[in-house]
Amino acid sequence: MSVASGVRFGEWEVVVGLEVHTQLLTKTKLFCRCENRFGASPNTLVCPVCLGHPGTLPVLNGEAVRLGVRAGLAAGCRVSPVSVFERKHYFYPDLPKGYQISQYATPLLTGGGLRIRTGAGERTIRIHRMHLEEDAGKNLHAGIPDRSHVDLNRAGVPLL
Amino acid sequence: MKNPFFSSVADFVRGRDERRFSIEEVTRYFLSRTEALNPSLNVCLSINQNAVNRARQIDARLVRNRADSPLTGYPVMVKDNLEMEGYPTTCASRILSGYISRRTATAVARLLSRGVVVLGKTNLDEFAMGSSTENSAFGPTKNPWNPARVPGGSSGGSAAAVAAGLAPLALGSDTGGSIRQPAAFCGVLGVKPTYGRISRSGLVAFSSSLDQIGPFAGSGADALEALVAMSGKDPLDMTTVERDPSEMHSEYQSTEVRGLRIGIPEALFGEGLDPSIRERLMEVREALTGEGAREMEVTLPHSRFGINVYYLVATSEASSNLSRFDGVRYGFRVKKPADLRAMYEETRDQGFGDEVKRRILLGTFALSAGYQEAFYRKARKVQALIRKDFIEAFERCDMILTPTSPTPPFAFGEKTGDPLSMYLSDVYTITANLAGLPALSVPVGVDSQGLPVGAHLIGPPWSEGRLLKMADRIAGLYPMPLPEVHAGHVAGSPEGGRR
Repeated sequence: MSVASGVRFGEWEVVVGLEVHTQLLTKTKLFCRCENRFGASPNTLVCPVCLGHPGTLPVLNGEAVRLGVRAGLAAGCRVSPVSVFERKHYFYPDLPKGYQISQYATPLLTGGGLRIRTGAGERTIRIHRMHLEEDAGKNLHAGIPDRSHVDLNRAGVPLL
Repeated sequence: MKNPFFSSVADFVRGRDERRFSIEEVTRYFLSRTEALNPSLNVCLSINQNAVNRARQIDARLVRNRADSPLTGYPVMVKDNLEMEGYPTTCASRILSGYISRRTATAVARLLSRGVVVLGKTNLDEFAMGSSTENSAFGPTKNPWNPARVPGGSSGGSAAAVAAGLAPLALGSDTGGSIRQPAAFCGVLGVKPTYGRISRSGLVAFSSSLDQIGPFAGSGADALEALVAMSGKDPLDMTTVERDPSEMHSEYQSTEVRGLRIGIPEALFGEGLDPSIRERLMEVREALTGEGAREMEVTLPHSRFGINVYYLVATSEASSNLSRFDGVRYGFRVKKPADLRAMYEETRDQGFGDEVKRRILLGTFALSAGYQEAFYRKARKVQALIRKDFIEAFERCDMILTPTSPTPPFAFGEKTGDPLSMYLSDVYTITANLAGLPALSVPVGVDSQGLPVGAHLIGPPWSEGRLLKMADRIAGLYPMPLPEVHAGHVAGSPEGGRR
């Protein structure tokens, strides 16, 4: 998430924060061995873990952590020597476990920023934090009356 | 508990290797005994139809090769919250009706790779939540010692299976005493290993920071074989610890009663403990000091918060772990709900039993915005203090002795109306889960009503071998009578909805 500020409209100051979901180019998902790939037939890149079957446990993909740290170093973030995964709960058909594994209190990366060029010269967009989390699947409704189709290929894809 | 073929794993190995019996014979014996007694005891939720085939295959292998494990051909029952590929896993809940597992739990897979024969899957409190097996959607299990009494819970089916001689070995899971309390109620040995000793992959999670899998057996030596086979690092469970399971064998061998320092928290032998159980425990203490053990008084000041901490931590984690049972992908789903919200609400309302719903509600409240810091996080801090008390106590003693349960097995319905009194059944066992410590219950005879009594041993991390040796020494001082179970004995008892 980044925050830019400084543009004024009369007595108002515009503050813009962006939440960016970046898919990491790992071979497999964040907590299972399913392929991390876009465009496959629905529900073909799934297994008991990312389908939220009973008895399954997440196993962290080390490559996702490595890529996350690499992005953080490039952006001048502080890398937390200990970072913690937590569960964010809500019910929705594209969320197999009833919670998303994300990072909350102790993210992988904090601080840093990106330098960009603008019409008014170079600016630094500060980074508040970057953390790892799993993506949800997707619900499809277009052209299918009275039904929801759920594709869980994306469930468990690593996001930064 | 007795069977006509062998009296222990060691005796089984001799009989098997000398071909005194075939694995098929042994398997058929236990299956037919189960068939005869299950209608009255309600121990098994499903029988493995493939067991005899597997036994034959093992017999065929044994003609050509020697067995490579003491457990090759050994019969086992498995609590029905542990997965076996191709078999139903019900967790004794309606919400998993029709669910067939895609994988086998690591603990079960490791036993299968040693050649065990799984006979069936045993009854439990729904999702392992309860202390009496009365919370099963498929009716309660009866205590083989007295069919009017509960077998304890939540692993009541597995404890009763071993007590009634339906299997010489059974697996359970223990989150707050769910192996040890039913072991005490049914007069068998039950072990909860150190947190991280055995993989929970394939165990349907209740409270992830407390759950452990462990065996019920006739003796410490028998339980040891199962523990060693199941233990060790598993890439599928990140909480497992790299430790050589054979350390348990060597510690079992080297442990002596003489000179052993036994910690006694005197406060736990006072108020609230049934006098008849207290008397048995005092006899055990006397016998052990007679054998050369030394008693040391220990204090565990934060343990009095154990129940409070447990029912925050366990319910919070349960509410999270059970949110996946939503009717979307598998198991039970209501027919024709009005909309998405109705589907969730009605599926979970009809799919879960009362105790599971109670704990989901408690846990969801404790984790809700604004309360998390005051409840769950604070409970985790007290949990750390409970663990610290134990670690300090173990600087002065080798293990701690307490009763397993404050009361003898109670009657059906006696505590179902009062959840708090049911929760207090676990007052002695809960702290071992909160502290991640190994602990076991060993039978020490019967009380004035002829019901089994258990002694509870808690040890420092990774001391299972020492505890099991001590359990066998204690059992040697207290030969247990056997329950008289036969089909007629418990027939016609009231409860027990069949599937």
